[in-house]
Amino acid sequence: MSVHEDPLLTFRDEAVELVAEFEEALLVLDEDPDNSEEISRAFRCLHTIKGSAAMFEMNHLVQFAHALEAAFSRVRDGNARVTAALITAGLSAKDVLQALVANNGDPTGLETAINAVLSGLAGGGFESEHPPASASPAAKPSSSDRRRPRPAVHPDATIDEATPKERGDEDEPDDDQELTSFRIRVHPSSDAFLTGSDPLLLLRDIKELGEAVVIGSVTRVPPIEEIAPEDCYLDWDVLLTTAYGEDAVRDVFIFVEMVWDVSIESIVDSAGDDLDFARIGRILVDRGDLTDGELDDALASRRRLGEMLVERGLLTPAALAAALAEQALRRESATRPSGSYGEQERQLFDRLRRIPALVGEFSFLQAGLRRVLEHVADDDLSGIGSRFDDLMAELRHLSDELQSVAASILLSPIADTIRRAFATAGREIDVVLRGAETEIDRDLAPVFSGPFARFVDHLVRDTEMFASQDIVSVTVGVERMGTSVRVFVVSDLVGDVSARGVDRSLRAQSTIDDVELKRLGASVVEIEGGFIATLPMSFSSIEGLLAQTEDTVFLVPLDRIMECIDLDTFGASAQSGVARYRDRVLPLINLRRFFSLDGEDPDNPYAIVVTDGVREVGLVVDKIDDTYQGAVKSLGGLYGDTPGISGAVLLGDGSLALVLHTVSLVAHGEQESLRDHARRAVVFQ
Amino acid sequence: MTHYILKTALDFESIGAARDELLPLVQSGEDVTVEVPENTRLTVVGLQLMISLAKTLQRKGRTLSVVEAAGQGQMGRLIEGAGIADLPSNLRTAKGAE
Repeated sequence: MSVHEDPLLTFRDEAVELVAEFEEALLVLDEDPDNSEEISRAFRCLHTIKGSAAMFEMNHLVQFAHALEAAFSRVRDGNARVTAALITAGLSAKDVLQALVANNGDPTGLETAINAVLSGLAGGGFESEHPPASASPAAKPSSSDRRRPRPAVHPDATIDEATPKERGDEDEPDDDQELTSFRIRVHPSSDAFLTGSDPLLLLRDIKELGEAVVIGSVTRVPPIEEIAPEDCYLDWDVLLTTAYGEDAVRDVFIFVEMVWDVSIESIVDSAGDDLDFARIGRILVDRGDLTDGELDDALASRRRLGEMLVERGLLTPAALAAALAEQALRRESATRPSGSYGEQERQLFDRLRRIPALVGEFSFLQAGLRRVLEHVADDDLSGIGSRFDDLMAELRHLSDELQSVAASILLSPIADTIRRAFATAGREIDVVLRGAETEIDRDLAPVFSGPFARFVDHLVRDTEMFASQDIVSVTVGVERMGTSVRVFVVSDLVGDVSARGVDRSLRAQSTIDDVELKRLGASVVEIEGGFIATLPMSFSSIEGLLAQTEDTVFLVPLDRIMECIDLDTFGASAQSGVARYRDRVLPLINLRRFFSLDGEDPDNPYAIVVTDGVREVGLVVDKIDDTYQGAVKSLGGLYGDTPGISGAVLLGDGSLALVLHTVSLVAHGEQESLRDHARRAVVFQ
Repeated sequence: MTHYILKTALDFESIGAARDELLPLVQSGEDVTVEVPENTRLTVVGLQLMISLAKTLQRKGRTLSVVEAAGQGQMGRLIEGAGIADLPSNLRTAKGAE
C-alpha cells in the first residue's frame, strides 16, 4: 500500500494544499478586498478542510475552521467586508491550521494562538461595516451579530473550553432579554454524512443556546436490505427556549440551510404572546403533521388523541413525542408570570437557583476547613469552625427547600401512562398514588417524566410484568431515601403495599437494564408484581461516607448504607467471598480486588453493608473515615463508564474521592455469590 | 440466538462494509446479538445502521441486542445525544462485562 492510500495521509496532504490556497486568496484579498472570487475561494478552502477533518473526528480543527468559515461566509453573503483585521486574523489562522493538521487536530500548545485568531475575528474582521442596502432584516447588525463568533455553529470555538464569562460579556445574552421559544425542524439532506456534516454537532450547538428538548426520529430509516448506509435518514424536532435571538439560532444552520430542510419558527415568548396554549391536536395541525379534517375525524373518538393517531399511522411516535413536548412547553409558558413583575420574579428565581451550586462550593470549603482545624489546637478557631458547620447545615436546608416540589408532578404522568397502556389492551384499572406530597428535586420531573413514561409503557405493553388479568389496581408511589428518590410501581396482586412494605415483604428478582433511565443515573430493580426505580435526589450534591483502600478514597452514598461492620467479628476476612451476617449470607466485594488496587489486605478490614433497596452486599475496605457532602463531578468519557463508579467528588485537600455506584456493586456481588454457590455445588457433586 | 462479533468499524469510512457484514444476520431466523469489540468506533452513521437492522428484525418478530464488549457505552451516548424518541422496541443495548 502506498502512503497515499492511507486516508489520513491523503487528508493531510490535501489539507496542506488547501491551507496554501487559503493563504493565496488572503494575499489577493489584501490588495483587492472586494474580489468575490477570492472570497469564495477562501470560503471553499475552509469549508473543505472542515468537512474532511470532521470525517476523522478532529473536532478542534473542525471548530476552528468553522469559526473562520463563518467569518468568510458573512463576507461572501454581503453581511460584512474584508478588513485588515480579517486578513491579519486569517494569516495567523493559516499557521494554526497548518499546525493542527500536522498534529492530527490536537490543539495542545496552540491555545494562545487559537484564541488570538478568534479574538481577532470577533474584534473586527467579522462584523458588517456597511450593510448593503439590499440586505435582509436578518442581515442587519444585531445583538447576536455582536456575539460572534461564538454561537454560529460551534459555541465552544474557543477550543480551551473557557466558560462564557471568560469569553467576555458579549457572549452572553442581555439579562433583561426575554426568553423566546422556537420550534426547529431539521431534515438533513441525504448526503449529509457524505459531505462531512455531523447533525449531532449542530444539535449540541443548539443546546448551548438555551433549554432544548431534542427529539430525534428514525421513521425514515429503511430496512437493512434497502438502506444506502452512507445516506442520512434521521430527522429532528427541537424545542428551544433561549434568550438569544432568532439570528443566533439560524446561524447554527448557516452552512447547511441551503441543502437541508430546516425550519425555525417562534412559538411562544415570555412576554405572553401566543399563550393560549393549544390542545395537542391544534399543535399538530399547526406543525403540519395533521390536517383539520384528520383532526376532526380523530376527535370523534373518546380515546387519547395522540395514541390513536399513532395507531392509525397518521403520526409517528417521534412526532407525537415532539408535539407533547411542545404542549408541555406552552403550558409552562402559560403559567409563567407575565409582565415586568413576572420577569423580575423569573430573574429572582434564576438567581435563587444558583444557591445549590454555591452550597456545593461551600461544602468543599467546609471540608478543607475541617482538615485544617484537625491540626490546630485553638478554641477560637474551633468555635468558628463549629459555627461554620451550623450555618452550612442551615444553608443546605434552605437549598433543599428551593429545589423541592411535590412528587405528584413526577407520579401523575406515570399514572397516566399506565392507565393509557392498560386501556389500549382493553383493560380498565385503578391507579393509586402514594407519597404524592413528598418533596423531590424540582429538576427530576422534567428529566425523568418522558423516560419513565416510555419505560412503563414498554413494561405494560411488551412484558409479562402486568399481564395478569387479575390485576385491578396498580400503586405508583415515591419516597425519599437520603440523597435518593425511590419510585415504585406495584400491582395489587401482592396486596396493599407502601414503599417500606415493598422492602420488607417482596423479593428482588433482577436488575432491569433500561438504557434511557440508566444513563440518567437511575437504577431499576424488578420485584414481585412490579419494580422499584431509584433516582438521584439531586444531580449536583451527594452525602456519603468516606472509605479508603490503599491510596484510593471512595465515597459511599449515605442513603445506601445499612451498617459498617468489623469483618473479624463476623468470622470473615478480606479474602472471604461471603460473611454470615445477621442470620443470612452477605456477599462481599473486596474493593482492592474489584478495582485491581495494589497492596495487601489489612489484618482488620471493614465492610460497609450497602443495599440497592432490596438486596445487600458488603464492600470490604481498609479503613472508614468521616461523612462528607460535596458536589458530584462527572468522570468524563475516559473513566465515565468504569463499573462500580458513578462519579467523583473533590475533597478538601484537593484530591478526589470516587463515588461508588452501589446498585451495580450489589448486582455484581449477588452474581458472584451465585457463581460461588454453583462452583461449590459442582465440586460437591 | 445468533451471537455475532462485528469485525468492521461502525464509522462513515467503513459503514458500507459493515452493512454487508451484518446483512446475512437477517437470514439467521433467530434473535441476534451483535458484539461490538473493544476499540471499535461507533458514530451516528453506525447507530443508524443498527436501527435499520433492528427494524428489519422487528418485522420478523426478532430482537437485536447490541453489546459493547469494552463497556464503552457509545451506543447509549449516541442515542442520548440524538434524542431518539422512536427507537425500535426490539432493540436492546448493553455494556458487556469488563
